Amino acid sequence: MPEMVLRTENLRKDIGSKNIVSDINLDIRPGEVFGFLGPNGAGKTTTIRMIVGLSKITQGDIFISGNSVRSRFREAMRDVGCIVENPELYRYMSGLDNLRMFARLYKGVGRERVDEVVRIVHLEDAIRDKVKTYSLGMKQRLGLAQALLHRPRLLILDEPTNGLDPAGIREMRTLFRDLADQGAAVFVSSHILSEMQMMCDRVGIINHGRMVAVHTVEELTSLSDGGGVQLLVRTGDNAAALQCMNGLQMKASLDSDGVHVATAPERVPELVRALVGAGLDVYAMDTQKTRSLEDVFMKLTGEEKQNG
Amino acid sequence: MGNFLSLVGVENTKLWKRVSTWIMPLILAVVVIGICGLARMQTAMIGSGSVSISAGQSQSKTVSGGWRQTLEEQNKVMQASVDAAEKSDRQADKNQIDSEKFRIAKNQYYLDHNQKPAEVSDSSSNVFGSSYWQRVMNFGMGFFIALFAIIACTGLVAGEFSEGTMKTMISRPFARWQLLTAKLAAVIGYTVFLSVVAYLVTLGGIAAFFGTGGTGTPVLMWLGGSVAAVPGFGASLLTALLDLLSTIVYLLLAFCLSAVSRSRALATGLSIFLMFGGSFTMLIADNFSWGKLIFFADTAFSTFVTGGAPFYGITLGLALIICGVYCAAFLASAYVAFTKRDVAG
Repeated sequence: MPEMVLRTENLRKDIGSKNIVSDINLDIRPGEVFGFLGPNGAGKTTTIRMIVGLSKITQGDIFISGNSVRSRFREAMRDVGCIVENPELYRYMSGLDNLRMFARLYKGVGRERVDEVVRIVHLEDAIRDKVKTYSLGMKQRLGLAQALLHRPRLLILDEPTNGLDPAGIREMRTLFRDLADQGAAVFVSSHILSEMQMMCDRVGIINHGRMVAVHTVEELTSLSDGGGVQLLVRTGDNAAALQCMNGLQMKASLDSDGVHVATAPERVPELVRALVGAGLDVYAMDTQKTRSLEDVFMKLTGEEKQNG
Repeated sequence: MGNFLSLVGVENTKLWKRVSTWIMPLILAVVVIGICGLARMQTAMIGSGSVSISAGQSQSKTVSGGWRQTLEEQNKVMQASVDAAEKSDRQADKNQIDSEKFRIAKNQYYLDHNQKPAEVSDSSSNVFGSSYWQRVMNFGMGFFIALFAIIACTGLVAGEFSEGTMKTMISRPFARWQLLTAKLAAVIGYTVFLSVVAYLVTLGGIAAFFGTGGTGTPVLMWLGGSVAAVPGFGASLLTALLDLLSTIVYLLLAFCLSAVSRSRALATGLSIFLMFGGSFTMLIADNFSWGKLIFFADTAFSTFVTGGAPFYGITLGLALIICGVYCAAFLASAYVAFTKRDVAG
């Protein structure tokens, strides 16, 4: 078994007498993109802040490439690149000056590497401008560049897609995949499920400061099926289609984009025949994974709520 | 693990990429030159009112008994007041003792060496003093240097919290105490730089506006309770060094406030307020012997060697020790606050 890039053991954080997170056990392997998913205030950022040394660990420990963040902080941080919350860089300096400055903090990161990461994040045109002139998306790119400088084995990104346009998000996805293929581990937090689903190999769900579940994306998808499928149906007359589905005792609802219907897979042909039989023009029938994943997420975090 | 020296280099980069870092020494130079020019104008105005002084000076050698008598009489009066003060129980009466003793000893030095003091009557004498080095030494820019050093320090320490960039520095292969030490090294370096700029510009400015007359005249300093004739260059260096130490006391105060409060505005404001307000503790030290334990009263280190102890019951060594203890406390609280507390986002 390969050495874990990141391992947390019974991690706990208290602020004053208030418990923020507890019993966080994570194992992140080299070569995977791991999604850290949870609603706002669930403890994602608190956990990340402990991993990168911003917050003291109340209990438990964190190991990065086997080095304890508590006792071998400097060795542990050598393998970490991160952006926590908004990337804050030196606004009165140019992007390039920022990167060259950070490069000096690591052995063996020279100017060529700086130029290389600038190309990786596509910031060539603005890199000589002062950071205070950057848009949020550009700051995200620069933040990513400084996190990549020293080729970290563990890349930690808190809500990395904030401020990025769809093209930027897609680029980022590709970049994460490339990094993982080169043997790094990428740890991404988000509260947006569909993003996670497209980006990640595994997803850990946190709620109320506790880990609820860790699953591969496939597992989550199959969990969400629950023996049924969710379909988005678009027809010439959606209202009539809804009536037709109700007639078949299927759970359906009319939405602006079409009719959403949930049913067992083996009843789908029956639905198609019914629609065609009713003389309706069927333009599309799409399976809705995202929507169903949301249901799983709500179920998982909801269950936790009842138990807690 | 990174190299500590490159971390100091990084802190210096942050410092010198700020425009204000370049502007402050510039202001310092302009102020020095400006004050020199104003003083020159003032001297010229006084000088034009008494043109006959140079004639009087040429006569002074022949009537040398005149100044000797003056000094002897001065000494008698001062000795009497010193004796009276020594017997007094009130601290306030005793405050002048050390500086009076210094003046007596200076006069005695002139009498013993049969050397007419330049201060008595000399056309070249002006607001800053009578000889080149005397003028250089009396030209204190300590307040400006301390002000600028505090601005640079709060920017580099508290500013990183205020601007949120501190969190970008924490997750690096350096311990937190190393980050703080690198910052300390950078701001002390900058303070030394400002002091050197002020010193060099003063050397040039005084030379340009007042000439280099009296460069060879030694400066009388009050070292350990006796008068010493110190070569001018050495004396001015000693004064500059002591002024630098005073500045560093206030710098460390600002450093501590920055690390503890994490707010640049608060740290800057409070440091400058205390630097001003601290001078009021002189009033306490003037009247109560425990007043010297409030370090603000003791920070005028160079006064001890150029004019005598500022109040009774203090020596340069004691002042340095008291300030040293405070500085150690400032540093300790800065390091504890910086290494133990969580860094907010």
